[in-house]
Amino acid sequence: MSTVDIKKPQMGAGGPKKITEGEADLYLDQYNFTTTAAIVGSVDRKIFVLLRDGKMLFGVLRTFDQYANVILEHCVERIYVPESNQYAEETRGLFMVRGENVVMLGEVDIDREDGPLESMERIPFAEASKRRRDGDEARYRHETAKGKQLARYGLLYDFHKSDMY
Amino acid sequence: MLPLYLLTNAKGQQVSVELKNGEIVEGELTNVDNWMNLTLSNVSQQDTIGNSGNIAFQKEIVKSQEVYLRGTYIKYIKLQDNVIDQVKQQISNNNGSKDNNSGNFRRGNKFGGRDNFRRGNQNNRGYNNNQSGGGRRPYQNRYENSQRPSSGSGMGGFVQQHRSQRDTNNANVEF
Amino acid sequence: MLFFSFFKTLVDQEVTLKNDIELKGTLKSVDQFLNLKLDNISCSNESKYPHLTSVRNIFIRGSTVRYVYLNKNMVDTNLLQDAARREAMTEKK
Repeated sequence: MSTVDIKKPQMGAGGPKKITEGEADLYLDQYNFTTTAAIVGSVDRKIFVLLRDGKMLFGVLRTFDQYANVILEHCVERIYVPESNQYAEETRGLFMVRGENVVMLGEVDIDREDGPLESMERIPFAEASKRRRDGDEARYRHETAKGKQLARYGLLYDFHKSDMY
Repeated sequence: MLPLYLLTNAKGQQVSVELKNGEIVEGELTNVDNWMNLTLSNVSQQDTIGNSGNIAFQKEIVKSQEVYLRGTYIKYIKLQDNVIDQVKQQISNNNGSKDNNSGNFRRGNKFGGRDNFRRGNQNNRGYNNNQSGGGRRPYQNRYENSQRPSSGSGMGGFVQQHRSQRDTNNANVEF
Repeated sequence: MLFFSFFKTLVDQEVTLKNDIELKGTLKSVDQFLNLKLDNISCSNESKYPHLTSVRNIFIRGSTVRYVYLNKNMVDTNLLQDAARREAMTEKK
């Protein structure tokens, strides 16, 4: 692809250039590679946010900043229990999520998001919450055991309880 | 409107903060700073939410008059549902009492997501210095012309209202 | 800054991420923290995240990415080596 050729000389700082620096800059400037540029397109749309602790939040993105701190309005927390094809939901209201706790976020197509839910059974939130906690405990035990095993071979296996996603 | 701005304007309201370790701290927000450090009053803190399904789980609730919370240890904050509307009210009240010619001030406050992007970059000068001023222009124009679904009560609504003003004064918005 | 520039060259190419969640999509944007924005995503472990079927584009925090799978033809290893060497020299100064 010819466009790839144009872009590549940019990688080497001060290396041989096939196009002028100005031309390359103009090309890349269309994209504006910043955190905020990536998120601004989703404002006032329904998004999902996956947090580091495994929580799944759905809400309308109202505002955000360069650290990806986000404000979600009409926020709902959803827990999926795939093994039994169940799910649970609980409204949370207005949330401010600190950016460092976000794994990923994305726009949800409101016409299509209910599709998978229709085939799933809805259960009380407390029950799903308990299942998730049990699952997390089991996983924590498993991963720490794995970490110990690997340590015997001199390998470091980093598993943090706060990273359950 | 940046998240921190919203938080600062939620002072005096009940908030519920979940910390990185899962603990929940509930109280009245008395102060916020730029690093999201908080001070809360009439606080009750407990060890994780959602234990209602399991009676055997002992929830210990600790109450205190005042608590200082380090911003870096916050996972998320639950605010009262009316905070956004309240803040918008405050802003429009402020604007009503100020000179109508303060175009820059208005741009700074009334715009939603798009201005967040710009303000974010203003603060971030030290980081994103690989951006050129020219680069931002085409980006802005792209979003001004795009077909965005009109939101209603969202902050995006503000942006649409003032679009014409921003167009004419585009040259004044400089970073 | 090197990998930031490197990822910029990969924009509009299809990349696969593995952070226990395997995602494939077109790289649309990257930033200095190597946060990624992917369009048109498809996910390999559907069951854990069923809502991902209704999601078209996502923003992924760079700190959570373990691997990014690329094709060999996306990378000019010689150029990359040169760039890395040059960056190391400038840092040494």
